Amino acid sequence: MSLPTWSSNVGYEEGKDWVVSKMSTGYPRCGWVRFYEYMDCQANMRPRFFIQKSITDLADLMLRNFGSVGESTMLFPSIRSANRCIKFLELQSKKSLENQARAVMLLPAVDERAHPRIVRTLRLAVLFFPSSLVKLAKTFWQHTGEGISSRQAHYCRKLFEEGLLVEKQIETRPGMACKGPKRYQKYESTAERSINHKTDLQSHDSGNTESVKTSDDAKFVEERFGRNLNLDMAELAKKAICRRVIGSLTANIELRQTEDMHNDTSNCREIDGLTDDDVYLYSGGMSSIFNTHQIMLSALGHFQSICFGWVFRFKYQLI
Amino acid sequence: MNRFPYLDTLKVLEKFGPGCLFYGHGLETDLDDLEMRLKNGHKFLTLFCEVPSNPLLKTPNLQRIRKLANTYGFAVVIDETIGNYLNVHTLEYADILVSSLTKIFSGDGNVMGGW
Repeated sequence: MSLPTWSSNVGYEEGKDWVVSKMSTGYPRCGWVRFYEYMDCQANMRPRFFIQKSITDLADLMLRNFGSVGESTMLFPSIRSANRCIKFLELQSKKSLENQARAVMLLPAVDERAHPRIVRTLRLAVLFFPSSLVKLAKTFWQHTGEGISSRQAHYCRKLFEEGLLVEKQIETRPGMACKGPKRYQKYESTAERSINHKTDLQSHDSGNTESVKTSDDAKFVEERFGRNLNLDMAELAKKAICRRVIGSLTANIELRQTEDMHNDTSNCREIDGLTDDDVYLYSGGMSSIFNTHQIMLSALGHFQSICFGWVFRFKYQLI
Repeated sequence: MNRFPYLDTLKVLEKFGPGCLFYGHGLETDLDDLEMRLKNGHKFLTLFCEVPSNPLLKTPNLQRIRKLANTYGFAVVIDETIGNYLNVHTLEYADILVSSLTKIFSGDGNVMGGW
C-alpha cells in the first residue's frame, strides 16, 4: 500500500472515501482509526485491519476442508501461538471455549528423497473458534503479531493442494495427550501413497512439464532479483542478520561469503561479550515486544510494567 | 496514572498482563513520580520506552531510568526502531533492546521482521 502524496496521507487519517475505498490490503496494523476518535468525537468510523489476501484465502480453504458451520479460523505458525489466542479469547469473552475452540496442526508428510527441498520443520496451526469472536481474534493478531506471513500462506497452500501438507489432530488444551503415532502414521501413509502416485505420474506424464516450468521460471525471477531467498540459505541469512544487528558484520558482501567470514566482535555496540546468540529474531516488531513482555512475566513474576513516553499505540495495549 | 486520550485504556492493558503505569508525556516530573512510588515499595516488572518515541520523537532520560532500574530492580526495554542501531547507541542503558526490522531491511518493502 502506498500513500504517495501529503494529501493522501491526510485523507487516510481523516477517513476520506477517495483514499480508504481504494485500500484492499495493507500493513497489518494499518487499522484505520481517525485521530479525533480519541477526542470522543461522534464521527463515522470504518476501522480496517488488513490480513493479506493469500492468508485469508488459505484460511477459507482450511475452513472448507476442516471447519464447521458457525466457526471462523485464524492461522498461526505454531500450536503454542494458537493456544495463546484461545487463552486470550477466553479471558476477553469471559467464557470457557472448551469444546468450542480447537486447533488443527498441518505439517509436511513427504518422502525426503522425492522432495528434498521442502521445509520439513514447517508447521501450520489452524485455530477454529466461534465466529462471534472474530473481532477479538483479530485484536490478538493485531497486538501480538503472531499470525503467519503471506509467504508462509503461499507456501502452505501450494503444499496442501499438492497433498503434501497433512493434518495431525491435536487436542485444544496443552498438556493433554495427542492422539499419538497411530493417527499420524495413518495420515503419513496416505501422504506417502499420494507421493508415490504423484512420482509415477510425473515420470509418465509429460503434460505436467509446462506448469512445472512456469513455476520454476517464477521462482527463478523471485530468487534472482533478491525478492525471495532460496530456502536452503535461511539459516545463514538469519545468522547474518543477527551479526549485522550486533555490529560484527559490516562488510557489503554476498550472503554466501559471510559463512566463512571471521566474526569480528571488536566493536559490538561497545558492549563486552555481546555475540550474535544474544539476538532473537521474530516475525515482526510487535511480536518481539509481545514475546519480550511474556518472557519477563515468566522470568520475573507478574508485576505491573511502566510505559514511558508516547509510544506506538499497540505497544501500550500489550503491556 | 496520567490521563491519556486513548479509547483503549487499562481494560486493554490487562489483556496481556497485570496492567501498566502509563506516563504519556515522558517528562522528568514523571520520573519524579515513579521514583516516589518505587521508594514507597511499589514493585514493577519492566519499563518500556522508545528512543526516540513515535511519533513525537522525544527521548527519555535514559541515564536516570537506568539508575532507577539498578536501584529498584526492574528491567528496561528500549525500542530503537526509529533511532536505529546505526545512529543511536542505547544498549548500555537497556536490559533488552527491541526493534522492528520491517522498516529498514528490505529495499523492496516486502518483508516483515523484528528482533
